[in-house]
Amino acid sequence: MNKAVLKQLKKQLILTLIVLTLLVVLNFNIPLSPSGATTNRTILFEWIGLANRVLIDDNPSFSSPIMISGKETASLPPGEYYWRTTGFSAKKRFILDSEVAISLKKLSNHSYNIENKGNVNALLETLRNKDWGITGAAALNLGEGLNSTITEQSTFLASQNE
Amino acid sequence: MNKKLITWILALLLLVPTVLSVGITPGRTTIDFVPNDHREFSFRVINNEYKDINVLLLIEGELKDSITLEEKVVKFTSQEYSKSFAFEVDLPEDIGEPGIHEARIIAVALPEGEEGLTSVQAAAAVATQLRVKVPYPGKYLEARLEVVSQDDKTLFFVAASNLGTETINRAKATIEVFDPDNQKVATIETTERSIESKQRVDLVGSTQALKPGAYRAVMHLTYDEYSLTQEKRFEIEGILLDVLEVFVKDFKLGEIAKFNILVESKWNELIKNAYAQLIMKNNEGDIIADTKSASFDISPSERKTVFAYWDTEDVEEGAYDGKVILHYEDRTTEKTLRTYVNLEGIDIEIIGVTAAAVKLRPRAIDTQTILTLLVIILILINIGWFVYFKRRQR
Repeated sequence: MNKAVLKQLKKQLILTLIVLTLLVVLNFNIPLSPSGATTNRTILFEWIGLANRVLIDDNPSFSSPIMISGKETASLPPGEYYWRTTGFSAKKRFILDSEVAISLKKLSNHSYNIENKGNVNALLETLRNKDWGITGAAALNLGEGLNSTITEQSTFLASQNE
Repeated sequence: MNKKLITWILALLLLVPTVLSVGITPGRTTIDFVPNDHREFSFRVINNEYKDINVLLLIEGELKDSITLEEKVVKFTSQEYSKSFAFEVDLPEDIGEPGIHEARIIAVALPEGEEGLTSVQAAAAVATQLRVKVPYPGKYLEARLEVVSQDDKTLFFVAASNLGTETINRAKATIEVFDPDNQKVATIETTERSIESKQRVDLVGSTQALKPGAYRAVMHLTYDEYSLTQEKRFEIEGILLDVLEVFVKDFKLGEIAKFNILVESKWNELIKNAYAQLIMKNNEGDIIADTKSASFDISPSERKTVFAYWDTEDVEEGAYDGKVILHYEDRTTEKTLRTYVNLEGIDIEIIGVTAAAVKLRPRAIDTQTILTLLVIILILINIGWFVYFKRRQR
């Protein structure tokens, strides 16, 4: 093979690499958000790139992914998740933290309305303040509320129940 | 619980306002038991209502002596949304039986500065749980079955966690799927995997897409010399009832038009108490008719014609938009109608059913395919150049 051919091959190789790099860059997707921790169970995915679908899994090897369209939001239970887009994409991790929250509204002297304001189903215990003894318990699912009557100083205690 | 803290609650409860909110995150932290392990964790208390409150932090539960938390009472002003707290965990040498052991940090919200004494008061409290998992001796597998509909497949994932002390060499599941009549509609074999102690793997299987409907899956999971069986009920979502055709026969303008609505069930169970609602609108978009059919039951795959009536006494000739809404099982299926009323008939077109109204979009070529094609073209061009120069050299 003479020098001219070698020179030509070199040019071809450089050109090919440039074109391939450009194509990969154009087709590469960079996940932006979510990342880190959140307590919002309805998640909108954002990324830079041309992909139109997102894979989400609680396993970093994406062995059991769910796939959603990029315009959809995913409603996920609390946990640790990994996500990437279809095509060439980096992988991003986020944690959906559970949040236990209640709101206590006084209806009358003995009666209260308790509402689940968190992002998980809760177990609501009614505790007698004088000895911390349990006087009642009920499931208080996501967004639900219930009325309760007490006869002595008490605390309504909510904890994660899923 | 210590008496001093109870006294705190009692004293501060005398100042409870009418609404009190508090939150805590995370609701739960789960760790594996390691003897004499020392670890640090954090949690956040949330002042959801942006109020001036005091929060009392208490520790309780079987592992309460393993937790060290500095703060006991924390003040929130109405400008503060949340505060983070760190706590330390010192696990003992031996924790006891295999399974879950727990401690809870409780945040009791107590208002500040409001008066309104009544005889009986309540406080709001939330807990963050610390769960410590103690492995079971030998081989112990916990599994959870998930079903996902995707494109032309129904996927079955078995999330299998090895909670034992020994490695499981072979774990595999067979899943049988039954319809509401208890007829087996599919048998799925998952992948086979080995699972190390404290590890979780997914065993994956799939079948061609199941029709919309309710199903029961029975999972037989074998792991080495052991096995476990689990059942799960699941639904494949989709349109349960569909409107196939809407037409009016023997009509004269000014009379009552009888709309024949042909309905098909695509669900695999009997649907009870369904009904159709017919809504017609004039050119301004005002509703000029809103009627309902009699309620009906419909069997799986059955087609049934139901009727809705429109009094056309004050209706003029012309085009009217409308819709048919099927109501069933807390769901609805909606079809938009385009109607043309003339003196001796009503022409009805269902938007989304007739070829004129809906055109199928050609499948878009994705970027992956374009990229692959471009790379192939590039390779061919390179080979071409190479051959060309080789020949020229000769």
